[in-house]
Amino acid sequence: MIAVGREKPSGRLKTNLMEYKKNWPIFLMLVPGLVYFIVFHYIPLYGVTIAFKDYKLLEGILGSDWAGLKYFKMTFASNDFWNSFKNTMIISAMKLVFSFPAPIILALMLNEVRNLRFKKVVQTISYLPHFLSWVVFGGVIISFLSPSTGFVNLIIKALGFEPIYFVADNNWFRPILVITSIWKEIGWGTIVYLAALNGVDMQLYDAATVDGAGKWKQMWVVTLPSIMPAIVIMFIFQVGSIVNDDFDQIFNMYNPAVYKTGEVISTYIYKIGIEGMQYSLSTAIGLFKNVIALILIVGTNYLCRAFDEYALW
Amino acid sequence: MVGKKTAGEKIFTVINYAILIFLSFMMLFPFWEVIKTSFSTASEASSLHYYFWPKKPTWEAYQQVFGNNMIWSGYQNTLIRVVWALLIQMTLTIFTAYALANKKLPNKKFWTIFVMITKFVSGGTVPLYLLVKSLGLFDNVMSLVLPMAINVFYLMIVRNFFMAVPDELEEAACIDGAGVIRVLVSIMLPLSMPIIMTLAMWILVGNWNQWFDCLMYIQTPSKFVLQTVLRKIIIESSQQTMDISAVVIPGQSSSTEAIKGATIIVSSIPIMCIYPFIQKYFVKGMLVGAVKG
Repeated sequence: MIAVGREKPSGRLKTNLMEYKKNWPIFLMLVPGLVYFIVFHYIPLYGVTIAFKDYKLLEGILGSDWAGLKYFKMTFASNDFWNSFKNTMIISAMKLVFSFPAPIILALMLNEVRNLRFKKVVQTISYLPHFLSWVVFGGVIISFLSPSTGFVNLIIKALGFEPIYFVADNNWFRPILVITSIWKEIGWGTIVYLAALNGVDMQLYDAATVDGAGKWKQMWVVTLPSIMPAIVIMFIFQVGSIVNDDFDQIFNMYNPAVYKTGEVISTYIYKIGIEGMQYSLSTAIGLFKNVIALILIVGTNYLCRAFDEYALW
Repeated sequence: MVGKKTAGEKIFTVINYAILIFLSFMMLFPFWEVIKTSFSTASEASSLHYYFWPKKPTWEAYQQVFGNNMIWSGYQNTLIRVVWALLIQMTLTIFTAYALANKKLPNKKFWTIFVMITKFVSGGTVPLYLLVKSLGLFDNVMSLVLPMAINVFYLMIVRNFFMAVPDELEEAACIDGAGVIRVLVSIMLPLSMPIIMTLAMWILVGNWNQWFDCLMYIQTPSKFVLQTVLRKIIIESSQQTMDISAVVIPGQSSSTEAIKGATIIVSSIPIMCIYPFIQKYFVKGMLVGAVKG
């Protein structure tokens, strides 16, 4: 009636409804999943509004009064928050520098192994910690580093030095986090790189050998450039998750003595939100963190796509 | 290979193998230390001198661990949780993946985005906690199973697998009068067995290792899952004593070291035993995810 040659909105709705009528069995299969996503993802998303309210348990989300930006102001005025923010960034940056290259190096080493059985055994052993929870692995590490009976400190004492309480020492706690994260995930991290290494054209090696390149040279001119796309993409993703600290690891390894260097955003949220029941304040912090994380993820996804297209040619 | 190995290459190979053997040893060594301690007598476990093998191996610590009701109830609760998770999470993931993979789903693109968005935008810990609380799920095993019923990453991988099944197979079945459930059960699932196994393993190990949700949602100690019991015994006890005064007081933490060791071993033995056999499913799943994601 109004727009000529164009379907009326009501008409489109009608054909749409027809579609649902015709294919209802398939939509019905989607319904349980939709209910799940609405209840456990979209409703909590609405729950974020308590960051802008004085949330009281008894009054519920709707009944609580609006508080404006009060809790954001509180967050940004809090030294504890900035400390946890700083620690998150420092620990993530340290992991980016030290933990990120570790599986690449291990993959390059495994790639040189010609004995397949040996390779398989080393791989399987290195996967072990990945399958354990941080509760188990953290427990193993804490006893390994124990100042009285732990292996590391027995060595230190045998060499005539004072024992070091690694997990309760602010100088040591961050390096310990980095080392244990390498320990736990180095083997598992090789999978992507080994798959990339499998795809390297063997003729390139033969050509390099004919040109007189030794093993070391071959690694620099053939192997590394070939797996560079995989490395760059993994790196971009890691940068993208820089505000996502490893809650499981830190929560199971830290203790009051290292709050100064070990408290990160997610452990801080747990402490004041769940333990301290400051729901509005902790939700405000969580929202701030999630917004940064979202910007980073969207940004890095974009970068990856751009890089992927560039890498193809 | 062109020509023989040079001397340099031989040295390289030897060093490479040596480093890999050393790394594997280092990987396992802390676990050996825990096993060793768990079989030691109280006085030996707190000894300030290194020993590689317990002089008088003993089951003492294990007897104490097995005498602890929390360990048994933890095992039981973990098993219950895993069974529920396998039932509910697999059914939901497979149904949703199948619907999203189906060409006939109305507004397919919209629903896919509707689901995908939740991977990037989340309410965070506290709103979810308050939701579970207001649903009355506290202290109920469903608080551990339902909130993470569908993992979007797994869902997309299963969906992609379903999409790769040729349409002709499905159409042929439809002509024969098979309904959607029939197509799913007799065509899609048998053809997607590798990814279904991977999904099952992901859910199994993921639920076995989960502890945080139990820490938040379960208050009755007899309802704790194994990992949470373990955390109470080995992590929280050491976090409490972790001030500097506790350093170098030998003998004080004597048998607790052995008991902690035995607890770790008892609760991680199942995973340690099965992981070499199920790792291939995880590797496959990860590679599919890396390529498609």
